[in-house]
Amino acid sequence: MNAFLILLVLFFGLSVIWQIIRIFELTSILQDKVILSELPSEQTNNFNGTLLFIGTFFYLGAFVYLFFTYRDKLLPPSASEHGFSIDALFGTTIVIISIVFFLTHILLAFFVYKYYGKHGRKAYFYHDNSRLEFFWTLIPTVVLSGLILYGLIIWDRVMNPSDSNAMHIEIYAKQFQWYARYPGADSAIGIAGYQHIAGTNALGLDTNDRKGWDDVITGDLHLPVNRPVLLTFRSQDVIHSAYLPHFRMQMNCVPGMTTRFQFTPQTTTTEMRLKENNPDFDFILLCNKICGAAHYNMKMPVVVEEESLFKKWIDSQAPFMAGRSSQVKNQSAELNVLPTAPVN
Amino acid sequence: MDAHVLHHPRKENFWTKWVFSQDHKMISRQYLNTAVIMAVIAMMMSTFFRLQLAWPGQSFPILETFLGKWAKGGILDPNMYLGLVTIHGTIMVFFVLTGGLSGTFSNLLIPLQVGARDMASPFLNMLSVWFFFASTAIMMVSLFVEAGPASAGWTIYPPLSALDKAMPGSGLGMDLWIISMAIFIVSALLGGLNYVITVLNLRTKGMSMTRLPLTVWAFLVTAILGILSFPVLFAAALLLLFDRHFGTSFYLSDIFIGGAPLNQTGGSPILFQHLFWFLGHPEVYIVILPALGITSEIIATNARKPIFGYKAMILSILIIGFLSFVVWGHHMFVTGMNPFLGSVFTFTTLLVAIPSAVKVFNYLATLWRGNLRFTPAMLFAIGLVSSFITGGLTGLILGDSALDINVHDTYFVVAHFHIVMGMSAIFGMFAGVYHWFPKLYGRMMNNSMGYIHFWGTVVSVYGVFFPMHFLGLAGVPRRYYANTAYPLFDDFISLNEWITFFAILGAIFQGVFLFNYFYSMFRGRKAEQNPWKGNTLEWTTPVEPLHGNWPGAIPEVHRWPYDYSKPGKTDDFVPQTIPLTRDEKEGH
Ligand code: HEM
Ligand SMILES: [Cu+2]
Ligand SMILES: [Cu+2]
Repeated sequence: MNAFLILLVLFFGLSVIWQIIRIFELTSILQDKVILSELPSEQTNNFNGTLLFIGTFFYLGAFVYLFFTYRDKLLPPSASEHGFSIDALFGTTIVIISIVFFLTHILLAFFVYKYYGKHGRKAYFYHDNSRLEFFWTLIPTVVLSGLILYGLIIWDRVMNPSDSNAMHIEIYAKQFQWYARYPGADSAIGIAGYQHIAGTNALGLDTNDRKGWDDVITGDLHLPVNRPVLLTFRSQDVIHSAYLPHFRMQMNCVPGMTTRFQFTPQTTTTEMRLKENNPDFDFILLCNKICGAAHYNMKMPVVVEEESLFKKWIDSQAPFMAGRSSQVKNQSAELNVLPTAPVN
Repeated sequence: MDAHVLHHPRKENFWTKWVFSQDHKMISRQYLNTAVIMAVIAMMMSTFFRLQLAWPGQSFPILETFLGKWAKGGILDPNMYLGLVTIHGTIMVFFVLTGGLSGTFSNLLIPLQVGARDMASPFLNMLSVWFFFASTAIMMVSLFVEAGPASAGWTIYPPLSALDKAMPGSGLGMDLWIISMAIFIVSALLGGLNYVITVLNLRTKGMSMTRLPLTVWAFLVTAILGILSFPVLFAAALLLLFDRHFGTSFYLSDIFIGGAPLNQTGGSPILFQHLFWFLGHPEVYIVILPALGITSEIIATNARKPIFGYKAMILSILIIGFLSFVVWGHHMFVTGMNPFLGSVFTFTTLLVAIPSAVKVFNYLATLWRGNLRFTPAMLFAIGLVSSFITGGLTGLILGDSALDINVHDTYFVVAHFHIVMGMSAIFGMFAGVYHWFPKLYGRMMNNSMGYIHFWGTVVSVYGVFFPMHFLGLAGVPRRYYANTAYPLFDDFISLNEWITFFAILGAIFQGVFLFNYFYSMFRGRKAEQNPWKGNTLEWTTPVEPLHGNWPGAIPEVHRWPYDYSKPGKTDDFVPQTIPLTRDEKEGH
């Protein structure tokens, strides 16, 4: 009923507009203003050309306005080492883009304004110029070559970091929860696989693998500052994506394979709170691949802290095997028929 | 072509004339009208989920009116949110901008502009439109499935789309989505083959490839892209169906879901993404190239000037077409693919910017010193130039693997593809409808309404999509039902409300178009034969369309289509059918 009323109102609204337009047109025909043709009159051309001109500058102005209004929010503050090099690349790209955006739009605006159709004027018959064509193929080619090269250098540096002594943490995703798994005292995380998932063993650790016994599984992610971390990612069910906007880090979690990303957090949560002048500031890990109804709520708090605080925190967490009976161990030893590859 | 084949058309009855017509012009109208209905539905869906995004959790009775149990108390259900987003995207990309755009204008313009009496195979052409119709009908039926329509996004990545335990929409709704898409692909292939063969074989005397209007070139390359890429999506969808129902594991491995391990192992979800995007990227050019072709034609006609760099335009269409097959990996930079492969895809992707830039410069040069007639079609064509620039430039960010790490799957992507693909292609489509309405229905659309429509639309769509760049850069992910759980995004609440305001405003302005379209169809002013003073062959056909297009012999072509304002001519246009005078040199 509601919908019907709305449609009815819309229909009548449109009819009224239509009638008004007809009246205008008929009166102008009576006044001999319009030759009966659909070709726009000189006035109409002038009007629309001027509007396009003003509109374009309004558009450019809106861009500038939004840009400066959200300048501090344009990319959240970077808190990782490689984040700054990505931001620099972003800055360069934005500058180039903006120049082209402004130049082409200004040209467009001037052309449509200046050359609006007039009676008795003829357009300039000009349809080829291979010098021009060459020139405006060459310039984008040169600029893009630079941009591609710059981008690839950064990409290579981000994806192939040189430190090999990074701390290994596993990020584990399932609908709709994140876990982090730390290696414990032995600095190595244990074997795990979907066939071992049972009861409280949500990550599917293989209890036969002693390396896993001291692993620490948590629901939030703590990272020591200034130490390279190697994150590896697994998923239990569908594809998820671990997105850490402040660290310029994103990697998909794909069932059936392990993905990885290495980076170095550079700013602690406390420092960031000071810097941002916001006592409630927190880093966050979001899910950034559609994974079901609660996708929008799948997140994990992230804390970056001094090494000593981190030590204190991780020592206060219970290791995986704590409180698990040996019976459980034996049981899963029997069940363990499928071999699993080590995670690293 | 043999003229008397169609010279004595069979007696038409109601069914062969209006329903199972084999006349390309009728088929074109059938495509267009189906697409218009689909576009209205998809647009309504977008206003529904925009309401939720601006005012999350607030009650809107209108949602309950339309969605019933999916919006109890006027609050949109999160599952249905994803369902709406998915079907909105699917309808827009496939039904409106592939079926609707190519289907309408390739069908209408290829035979008319190359000088043919009809398509190479009118029968396959009829099948194509009916397969299209069937696929849209099935997609609509899927909206009424008990557990909801497909909801895994228009990219339907498995395992989410493969397992009905993963989400309610991955049950019957997903099966119907796959079946609908398979039928759609059959339709696209039948259409595409016809377009290619018609352009290659049925050109009239004198219509060499370098005398083809750029519209036809664009339709030709588009059809070739479709023929090469759609079968890959067909295969991908079929394998997905097997994984869903027959226990295969093409895309599945190591999964624990619904409290039990799945015994399908050994597949890879990433394989699906490779197959999907091997279609998916060419698909965005299937969407945009016809719009660019239409724009070239309309800008030249209304600037009363030859298109600048005709051959460069053709070359850039061909290069874009070729490159579109080697860039699909830019959708997968963060899937854990080998970083070296990422580098290769960055390289190829950014190369696309070169032919695109050439096209833009050529458009600008065409406008320069023209005598611009701002018909509504021309305004939309100019709007396309603007949106193609804006959206193309942000592609430089998304295509750069290092930058994509941070903006992949955020609203930056939503902004980018809506502007470069959604807005540009829709503008191309509007331009085409205003310009060729006389050839579709023998009548004119109302200009004043056209102006209101253009100005309302251009302001609204930029108002909707431009601010989304800023959301995306701040890190707001796409396909989120609400951002309320993230203090990080609190600064954008008012921006989100503005976006929704413009979305609703834009929808209202589309009402003006719809009214104009349907009213003019029956009551519009009768068209003249050549209302825009164009050069191409379609304007030599009679106003009242007839099966076979030309009452007499098919005209012969003597020149390229862009002799506008040629010095030494009294008129500012010289139709292609006028022979060159003795000492006249041909245009390009
Ligand atoms: C009527 C104006 C439109 C509005 C207000 C609109 C709005 C939106 C929004 C807000 C989303 C993102 C939702 C989310 O990620 O949660 C979206 C998704 C999408 N839209 Fe539109 N849109 C419009 C028109 C179009 C057009 C013309 C196209 C054609 C290309 C299009 C294609 C898509 C696609 C492919 C998606 C992605 C669906 C997915 O994530 O699976 N939209 N739309
Ligand atoms: Cu998710
Ligand atoms: Cu692509």
